[in-house]
Amino acid sequence: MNISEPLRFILLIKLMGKTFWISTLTAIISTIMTLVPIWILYIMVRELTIATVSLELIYSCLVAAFIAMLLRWGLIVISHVSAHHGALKLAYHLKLHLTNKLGLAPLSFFSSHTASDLRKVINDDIAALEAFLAHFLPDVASALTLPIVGLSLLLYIDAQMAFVAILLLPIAFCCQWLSMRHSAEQARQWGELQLNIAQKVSEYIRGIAVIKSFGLRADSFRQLSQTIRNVAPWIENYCKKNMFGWNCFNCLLSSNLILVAPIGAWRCFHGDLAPVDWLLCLLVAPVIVQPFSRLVFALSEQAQRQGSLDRLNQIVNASQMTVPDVIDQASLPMGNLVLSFSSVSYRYDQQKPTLQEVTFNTLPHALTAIVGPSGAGKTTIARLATRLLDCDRGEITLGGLNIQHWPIEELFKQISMVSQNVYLFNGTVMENLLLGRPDANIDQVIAATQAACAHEFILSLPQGYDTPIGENGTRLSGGERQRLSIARALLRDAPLLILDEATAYADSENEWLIQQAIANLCNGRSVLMIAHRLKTIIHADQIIVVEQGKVVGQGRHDELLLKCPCYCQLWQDIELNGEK
Amino acid sequence: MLIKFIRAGYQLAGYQDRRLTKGLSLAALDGCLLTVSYYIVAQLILSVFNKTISLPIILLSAVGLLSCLLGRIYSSNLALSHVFGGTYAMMAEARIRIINHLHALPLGWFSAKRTGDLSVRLTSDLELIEWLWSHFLAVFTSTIITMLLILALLCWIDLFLALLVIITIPFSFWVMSLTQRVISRYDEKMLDTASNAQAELYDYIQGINVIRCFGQFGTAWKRLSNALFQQYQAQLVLETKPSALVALFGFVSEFSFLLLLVSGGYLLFQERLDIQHFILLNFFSLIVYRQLQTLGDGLIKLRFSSRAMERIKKLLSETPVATYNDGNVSIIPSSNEITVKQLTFTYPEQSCPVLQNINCHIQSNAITVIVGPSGSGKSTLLQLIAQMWVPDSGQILWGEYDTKIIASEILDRNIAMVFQDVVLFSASVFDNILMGNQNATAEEVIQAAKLAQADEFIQKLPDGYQTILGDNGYSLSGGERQRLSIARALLKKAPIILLDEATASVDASTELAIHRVLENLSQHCTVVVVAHRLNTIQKAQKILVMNAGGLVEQGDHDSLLRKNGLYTQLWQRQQQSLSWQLTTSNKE
Repeated sequence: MNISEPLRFILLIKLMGKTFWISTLTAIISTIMTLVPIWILYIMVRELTIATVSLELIYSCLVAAFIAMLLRWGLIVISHVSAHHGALKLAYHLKLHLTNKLGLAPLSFFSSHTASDLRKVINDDIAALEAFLAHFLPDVASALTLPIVGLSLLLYIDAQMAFVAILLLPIAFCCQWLSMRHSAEQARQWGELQLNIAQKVSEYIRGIAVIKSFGLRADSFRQLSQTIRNVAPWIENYCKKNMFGWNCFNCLLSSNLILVAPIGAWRCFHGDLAPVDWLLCLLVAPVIVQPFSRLVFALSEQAQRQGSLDRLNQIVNASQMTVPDVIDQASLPMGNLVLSFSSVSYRYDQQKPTLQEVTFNTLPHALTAIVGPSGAGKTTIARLATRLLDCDRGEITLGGLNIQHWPIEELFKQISMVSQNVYLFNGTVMENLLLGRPDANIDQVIAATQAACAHEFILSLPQGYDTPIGENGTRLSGGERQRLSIARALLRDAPLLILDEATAYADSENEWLIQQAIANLCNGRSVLMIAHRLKTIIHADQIIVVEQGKVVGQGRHDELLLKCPCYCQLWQDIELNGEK
Repeated sequence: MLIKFIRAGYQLAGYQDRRLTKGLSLAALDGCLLTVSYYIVAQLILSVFNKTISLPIILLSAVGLLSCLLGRIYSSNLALSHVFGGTYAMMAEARIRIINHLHALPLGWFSAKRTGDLSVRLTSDLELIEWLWSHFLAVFTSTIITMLLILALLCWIDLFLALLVIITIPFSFWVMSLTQRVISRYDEKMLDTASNAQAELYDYIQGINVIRCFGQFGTAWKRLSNALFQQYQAQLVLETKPSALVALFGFVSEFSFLLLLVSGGYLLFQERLDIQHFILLNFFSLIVYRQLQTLGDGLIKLRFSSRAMERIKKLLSETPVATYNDGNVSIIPSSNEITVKQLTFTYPEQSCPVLQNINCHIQSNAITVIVGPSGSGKSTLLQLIAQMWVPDSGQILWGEYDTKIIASEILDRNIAMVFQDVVLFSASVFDNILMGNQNATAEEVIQAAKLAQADEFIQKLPDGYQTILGDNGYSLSGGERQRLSIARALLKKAPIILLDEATASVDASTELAIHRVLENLSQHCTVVVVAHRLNTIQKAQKILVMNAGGLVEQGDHDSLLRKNGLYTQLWQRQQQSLSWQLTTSNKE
């Protein structure tokens, strides 16, 4: 399914295609069928007032009514089924399209849109669009059909009565208009109120451990209970102010008999109108106006869907990481490539720049370490190098080619990253490992886990390599997760490795194993290490000292001790802390 | 059945909202008035076809119809605002009850899957009930009243023909309940696939960056699209399979009109019925049929809400295992020593205990450090001291009292805990710290931040203390996040402070400063720290060494080193790790 952007309702209808026409047409015909029994009653009564009853008449009426009913309900089934077929299929493809799109959005997009918000948008707002296609369209089609067909029928019978039947309509719409004047603003307020509650509630649940330990309850956690309780007075007030018009509207719509009945009776009394025609008016008149209530309700729901569309379009229009068009494989740089930062600056949202004019090169087959106090921007460098962020100014190149011009797949054949936040998804150990190289065979996997000191602990898991991990599976310790991620990177076998504080969370036993694993991983590769512990990188071929987003020193350990005060300070801190 | 619904609602909310009953009575009045206006029209029909029509009758009917309309506008308006107000107020209380109920549940209850479900209960489920109740309850009530009254009128006109109409009603309700059974069968499948798809979607969005680092969406993408496909299929089945039955319901309820038309016609033919009454019967049966449609529609929707209510009721009935007690509020121990006696603990749904027969004494006004290999039970012991779990056996004494008899309220107030996984809320930095103690002044908050070595970096944030943190404080570094969570705990000024690897991602100099603060605090507090960097804790008065769920050694650094046991091993291994040096060509 080809979804051009941005999303609009018309576009959705177009995308729905054939099923839209089938569902709408069948809805219209089945609606017309609802008038048939009334018409048959009319015919019967008309014949009866002229002549006596004949059995043939009764039989033919029976057959006609039966067929009409059968047709009506049969067509409703067809309409319902085809509308849902089309709508659900489109919703499914929209979800695929958007999640695919998210896969290309820059990381900064995810800092302004949380995962739970995005999930809500993709799930709930697409459901709203699905309701538009599956319910709104056929509903509106049938709600429009009844007044048109019914009114034509009345006009055919008696134009005056047709006029009487719709006399209340303008008044009803006045009431409706009065009640809906502020509805857009009200709907916005309401949406905000609900969103606020949903967000606070989900934060509350996520932070339940902390919340329990601080004894926070609904009334002390960010006025949660106040927020929740505010909803009832708001809605009651809203009802009092706005529902009166809506109610008048509804009551007036179901009450056009108060005119049709007496006026018709009066005209019958004077002999202007045949009683049987009046009877038809009595039966058809309510049918003409009542659908307007459904129509207006459907339209007001539809107005809310605009919000859904807007939110979805935020994803559709999300800036994409620049990905080059198909590029000639042969034109890509080859061999052991150098990653170089030249005058790179970056800032998160409105914060002060996290990185300013950072310039350095990695060395081939050598260890480049980045050190600096916490908050200096070390992790940001790793994120920029792996395109989790794109820099604001300056250029990052790999083998002389700007990394934004590298096809993503090719880029990550060159670079692999091991970070302190290990991501393992809900799957088996093996599935998680194969993320590194989907076509790896079992020997390659075992070779990698052995080098990552992970093979033994994996074998000790209940189902070995097939043990499910994550939410519904075995919980792994931080150190074990680390080693799995190292094994994954080993399978990946990229020539440039970026390591980010990989040992921070491990205990001493694990730390030792992780160190072995990392040593195996680094062997023979170019490494850019975000170092936490200075001792580790004392023999690095190049050390880059970062402080407050700027490079303040660059060189080997001995050189830096002589010329970089920040580096000396870092060492002093360690000595104070007893880490000798 | 309506009463059953409302009673269930009262149960959820924990109170009875008078507005709801008042609103529904008014809706019933609305239904009566509607019936009266139909009755007036029926009388008009009779007199027109009888040719007894006269001007006074017409005028009287017009006045009657108008007053019915005005009465309906008045009653339905009041009914609606009462029903809306009542429903939303009740569901708000239900939300708050659930939220407060969570406090009573032990931490172990909150597995990742459950927390997902919980969000659904508290948001989607309650929103569904609110929406369905407020929109359909009043309509449903007035429709039932109108239908019953008109059925009575029908019986009054002609009992035999009325029975023809009534006879189809049980049948259409049978079809309806069949439909509901079919729907609920497919609905369950749909809900399962939907929650699975939701989980996969969340997993995918969260892990997207890592997935991307592997240069391909690979397995995760396949898993997600597979889950979405399952959901799509299940939705399709749910929407299409029962639709024939829904149509059958409509057909059956409309069928009564057909029956009436035919048998009425036949009776006319036999001259056992006059034309006026034939017309009246048909007029009323059309109305009954329309009411039946509204009723069936409302019933399906209200059934959805009752299923949501069932789920919430189940949640509320989760028994708070003995952790939460309304124990004695007046018991306040005289000292802050903690004594652990023969403590054994097994995680729920696991067979092996993680802690076995632990005995130890934690001095007041001192720092006690717990060390050991990962999985040895350090964090678990700390969490047990904080009363987050219920031990299988054994005791934890605070001063002279068993913590079991001390009210949870008192325990909460006196223990501050810093967790390994930092949780920050999307509020300002200030508010995040303030959560430690809602009554603290601004100065106290800043003081706590200073003690936690956080003041300096907070000042540098764009809006200082008023900087709003994004989702879980994304833009802060790991160390900064940990310092905020320490500040929050310090603000609480609790006499017992528990830290679970709270400084793991803080840099060395900051960690040192935090340890100095803890040393100061320990002059008048009980401080327990789970640590893995042994260097920083050398000076601690007491070190507890754990291994495989047991306490194997205790003492201070020097005495432990002399024992030449596990601690010595850990120490040596760590020294070895610390002096580890990485190059790209080392091969061991």
